[in-house]
Order: sequence, then structure tokens, then C-alpha cells
Amino acid sequence: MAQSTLNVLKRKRMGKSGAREIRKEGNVPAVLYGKGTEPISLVIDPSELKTALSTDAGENTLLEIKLKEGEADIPKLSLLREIQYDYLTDKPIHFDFQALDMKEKITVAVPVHIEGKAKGVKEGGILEEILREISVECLPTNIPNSFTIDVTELEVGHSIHVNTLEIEEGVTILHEPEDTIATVLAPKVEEKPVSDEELEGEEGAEGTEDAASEEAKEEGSEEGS
Amino acid sequence: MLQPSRTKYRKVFKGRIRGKATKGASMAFGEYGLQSLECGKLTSRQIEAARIAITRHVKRGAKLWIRVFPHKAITKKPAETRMGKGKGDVDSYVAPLKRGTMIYEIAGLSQELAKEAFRLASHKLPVKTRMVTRSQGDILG
Repeated sequence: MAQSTLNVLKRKRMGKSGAREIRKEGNVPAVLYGKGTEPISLVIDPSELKTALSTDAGENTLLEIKLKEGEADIPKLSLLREIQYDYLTDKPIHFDFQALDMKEKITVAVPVHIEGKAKGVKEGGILEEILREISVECLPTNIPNSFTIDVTELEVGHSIHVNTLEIEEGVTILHEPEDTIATVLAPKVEEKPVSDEELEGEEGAEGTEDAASEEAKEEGSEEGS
Repeated sequence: MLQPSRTKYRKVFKGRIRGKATKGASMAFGEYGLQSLECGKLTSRQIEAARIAITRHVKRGAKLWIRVFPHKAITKKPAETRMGKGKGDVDSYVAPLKRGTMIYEIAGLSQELAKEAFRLASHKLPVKTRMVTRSQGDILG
């Protein structure tokens, strides 16, 4: 369990214009909510959040949120729940934090790290990562930092499934055991385009065959009559 | 070329495409994506031409996802026809695009190769595009 402190400000102006003002200053509006906690609108400095999250647990770091300007701190630890990005600039535009009850299980997404170069990839296959995050249910103190899978023995057509993951006690994976995490696909070769000359040649050959068969039919019918 | 196998209504209104994409605007499958920066319509021919440009450049060793599908029928009247006499016949199918729509996604290749493949593909498309990577929007990235 990784934990760090995040200093935040309480948001003063609500609404769209208030949010825009915050973003103009280089900060990001955010909200903190949770069971038994009154929702609070906050102002976050993204660089400070980045520093707070640069632990082994990454985005699943438990945060102790401290309010600046002498206001009472939030007594509960929080978890970053959602980041909304601007679709064109890729900058964060809003954060969601959830105040946690440390005795209650939560659902979190744990990242999957792939190690090694698969045998199949060396033979020309393509490694496809199907599940990049695994949803788990556990207590906030038991959140795994990440799942690491070794793909070095993976050949073309072979896969790694959820049931091969090593999990600690008290952690439940919310996927089906047969769900695929990564697979090595056989390479798809683009068919060579058929040139016009080749096409004409084929058509010509077909044409002569058709004509020959038609002639034979006609001859047959004449003989019959 | 891509086209619907069966449609409920043969001809549809032209409509206007405005605003930004809320669905299909993020990376879902691959490592690199080609994102539209403008609203517009992609014809099935353009989608296919860009796909061929990508696959020819990467040759082998990459998986490509086409994130748009030409569902919308476009009608056209025959040449030298007087106006009136009803709506024309279905001519082609297009995929309406909003700003931010992810058009293609690719995985299993280097960033340089993907960049060049998408550059070649963008020349076949009628909208401005940009390449995006999976780690681009990551706050920790």
C-alpha cells in the first residue's frame, strides 16, 4: 500500500466559468466524494498530483488530502477515481477523488505490465494486449501495485489468461478465469495487388473458354436436331 | 470496401455534422491511433485507400483496427437529369466524423513506423488528423 500527501485548495467559484478560470491559472477542478462524506469541490495543481502519484502504486496511491488555508483536513484517505482529459490537447480537465472507508472493499483497476519478448514475436507474430487493466475487489490496504506477466515463452497462437495471475489473499479478480490478457497473433500478409494486365489476361482466357464451350453446345444441339 | 449488409431505411437525410466526439474518441485497442481533428464524412473508398496505405507501409507485423464504419447512405442523381422526380439513388456510403473521432488504431510496431504509416494514410483522408499514443494523456506519462 503506497500512500502520499496532496495539498489542495477548496474551490470558491462554482460553474462552468469558475472551472474555466481555474484551468486558465494552470490548475484543475476536482471533486471529492465518498460514503458518509459531504462532496467537496477542490482545486488541484496537476504537477503536485503527479508528484503524489509517482509511487509504485501509480494511480492507485492512497492520498491524504490536506486543505490549504487553514481549513480542517479530510480525515479519510482518498483514491483517484477518474481523470477527464481534453480530447484534443490531452490535458487533464477534471479529477474525481473518492474518500475511502478502510474497512470496506472497493473495486479498482490494476495495471498489467508485460515482461520480455515473446517467442512468437521473434518469429514474426504480433503481441496483442487485450486486458491492460485488471479489475479487482479488495480492501484499500490490499490494492496490488500491478500484475506482471512474463510472455517470453508465448508462441504464435498462444495466450495468457486471467487464471494464471498470482494474487494475494483478500484480493478477488472480477474477470472470468478464461479471459485473455495477451495473445500472439499470426502476422497478416497484405495480398499483392493484381495489375490490370494480369486481369485482362485472365478475362481474355475466360472469354475464349466461354466461347469454346458455347460453340460446342451449339454443335451438340445441331447434331441432336 | 465497407458497406452495410442491410439497412432499415435505404435513404437518409443529409444532416449536418457539428461538435466534438464523445464516443469513439479514445484509444480502445491499439498503441497508436489516428484521430480526426475536423468534422467531415469519410467515404468507404477513402477508408479503404487509407487502410491500404497503412498495411502496404507496415508490410507485416502490425494489427490494425478500423474504428469507423460507413453506415450512412449518400444518394446521387444521374448526370444530365432535370431536378425533381424524387430523391436520387444510393451512390455510396460514408462514415460521419466528429472532431476527436479515432479513425484507425494500430499495434505491434515501432512509433516511427506507425507515424509514417499514418502520415501516408492521412493524405487519403478529407479531414485533418493527428497521431496519438496511448501514454499521451497519462498524467504520470
